[in-house]
Amino acid sequence: MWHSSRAILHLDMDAYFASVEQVSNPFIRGKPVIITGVGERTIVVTASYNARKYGIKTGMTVYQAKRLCPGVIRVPDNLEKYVYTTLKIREILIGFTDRVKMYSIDKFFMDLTRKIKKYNTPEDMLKEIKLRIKRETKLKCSCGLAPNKLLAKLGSNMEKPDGLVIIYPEKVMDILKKLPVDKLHGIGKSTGIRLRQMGIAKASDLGNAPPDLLKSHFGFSGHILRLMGNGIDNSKVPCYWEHRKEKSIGHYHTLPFDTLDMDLIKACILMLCLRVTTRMRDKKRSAKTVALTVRYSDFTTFSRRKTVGYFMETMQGIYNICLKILESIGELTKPVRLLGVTLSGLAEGGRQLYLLDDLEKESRLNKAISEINDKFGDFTIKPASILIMSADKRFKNN
Amino acid sequence: MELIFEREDLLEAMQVVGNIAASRNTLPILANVLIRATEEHIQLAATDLEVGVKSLVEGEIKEPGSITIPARKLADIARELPVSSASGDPVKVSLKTSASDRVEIECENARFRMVGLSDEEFPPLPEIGDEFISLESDLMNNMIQKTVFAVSTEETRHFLNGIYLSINSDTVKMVATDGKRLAVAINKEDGVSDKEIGVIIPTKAVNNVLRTFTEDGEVKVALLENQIAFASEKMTLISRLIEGDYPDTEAVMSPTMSNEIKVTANTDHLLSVVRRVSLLANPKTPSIRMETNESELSISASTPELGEAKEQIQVDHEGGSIEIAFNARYVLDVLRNIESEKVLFKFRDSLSPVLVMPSDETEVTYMCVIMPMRL
Repeated sequence: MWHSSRAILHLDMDAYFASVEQVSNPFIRGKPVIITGVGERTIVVTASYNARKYGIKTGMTVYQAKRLCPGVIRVPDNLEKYVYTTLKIREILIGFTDRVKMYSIDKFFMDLTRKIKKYNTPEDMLKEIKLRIKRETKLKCSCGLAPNKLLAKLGSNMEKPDGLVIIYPEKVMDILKKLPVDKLHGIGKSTGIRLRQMGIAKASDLGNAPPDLLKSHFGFSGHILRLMGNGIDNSKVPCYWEHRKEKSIGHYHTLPFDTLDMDLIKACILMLCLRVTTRMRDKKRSAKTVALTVRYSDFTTFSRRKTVGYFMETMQGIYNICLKILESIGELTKPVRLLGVTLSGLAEGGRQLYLLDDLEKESRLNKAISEINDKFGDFTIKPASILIMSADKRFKNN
Repeated sequence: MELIFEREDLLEAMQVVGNIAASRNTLPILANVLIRATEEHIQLAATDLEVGVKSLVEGEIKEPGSITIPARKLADIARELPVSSASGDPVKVSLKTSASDRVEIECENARFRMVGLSDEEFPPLPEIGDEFISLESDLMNNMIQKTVFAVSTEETRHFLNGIYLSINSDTVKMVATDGKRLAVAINKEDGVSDKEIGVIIPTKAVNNVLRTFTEDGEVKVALLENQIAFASEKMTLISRLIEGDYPDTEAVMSPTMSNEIKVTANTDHLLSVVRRVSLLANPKTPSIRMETNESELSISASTPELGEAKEQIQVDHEGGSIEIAFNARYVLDVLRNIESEKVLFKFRDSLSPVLVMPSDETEVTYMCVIMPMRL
């Protein structure tokens, strides 16, 4: 039986990208496979367990990997495929509880507190989750169940691949006594070295360290470190539909070809303004800061931002600020490859009405455009100057 | 040139003039103050090409001449000079030019040698001619204070970035709006001007008017080409005008006069209630809700992350009931500028402009219109 106040599961997909590729391509199953980027100067993103046997690790260059295992099969990454699979796994997990948080593309936290009691043993529930994933995606994962996220993460790392580790509350202290301090999630290499220099080698040493000592070395983080050393983590797993408040809203667009044509650049900025304004309105926000990002053909990228003393709500207002930023940049020195518009300094709240007719009209127009585009798809209604982009021959050719 | 000032006179003038000199500009001369002494008087001047100021300073003219020196530095020096002299007499400062535009400043035992620039490139500041109107400085400042808060800071609507001053034979009116609220200050006085004037004065200029014309007395106001000038006996302030058509604010104001729901409250009491309640309004867009219930007005605010606040206040209430939301900041700005004991709100419905004005005026001298927020 599970006696803790909370039951948190961390689920880590095994050699995720490589496994997904092996599922979709029977010819590479059971073989050493590395997933890499495109081109010669890329690195290993994921290595299958067969490849790991040769000592191949994430972050190595392809050259290094091939030297360790000349027969290794190299597969360029296909992010769309992985995202698709991740969403599928997420759906499966949501079937068990709505307290699911995608921690990264191949890692999930779940709060099973309310659900786990329905099963005879916690193992039963974990086995069922693993089985469902296996059946529907043919993928394996390592699970850790514990009273909190910190320990659950630790558990999932203890047996890999295809692991199933349950850290019962009464066993926590024993585990922490043996655990090297830098194996705690959140303690990196350099913090680990500093702690060791202070004579703190095991996680439990950290938990027993004098608070003042930790505070003098790490400031407020010292307090959190000490909690971690005691295996305490009160952070929650939110419901999958709860999301943190966005701090910014941005859109980027890579032009079909590099250009110095100001008309096209402005049309693209206008299009981006329409997109960000629409999203901002959907979220009932207004913004104080606009940032314009420019990437030149040689990939040099820079952003300039401007904060105004009021909250902007309309596309035109945001576009005008973008033009001011563009003006302040001065002459563009190289052809532009990508443009981005990001809004920040967001405020939520009711919509301010306007006194002057033209302002109120503009605000209502924006609302109407958003509503139509929501109903019939993005860019059903758009400023005519955006058409310049689609009318340009060079765009047609692309 | 050789001049001798009393420290206090120099400091007072430099506090105004130093403020105008450009802090960041490509033209070095604009960061300088012009010091020009004729046989009769000494004048200090500075400009950033948008606003310019000239100030007559008392002092002894040993040798006339002119020079420009960095304005901020001179203001800083004047501030840091000894406050009292060994003899107990007012502290004297001497300023003398030497070869190649050097300026020597001496005060008690302190000596400064500064690098100046010749006055040749200093932009000429226009003089007020015979055509001007006269306004009492305290009245003018009061009208500016009551309207300037509503000026728009939106750079994209430059014509709203100033106070609209309109003058005709019997009325001086100042209007400011940012499109969400509007403030109008009116002064009726016969024979102010025989011409109709309507100009937009930039915020920077009106703020400097408030800072410059602090002494009681008459201020001459004159229109020059694309510029406006304010002048007292000692000070002249010139500003460029904002070009563009100011919106027809009368069309916004007039319909609100006939709003039928009237709520009259004690100004100070309501001000303190709104301040208290808005503490729990969303800090970025502090929306507050007003609701009438017979002779009670309830003001409330709520933010999911913070909580709720509510307070009632006794009011005189005529017409139907109303439930309406405002940006608290806009309400506070207006209430702070209502000088009368009671304030009158005229509502139509929860989405229409609301008129706010002093309740006990026989002749309207001040009114504001605030646009509500959607509930």
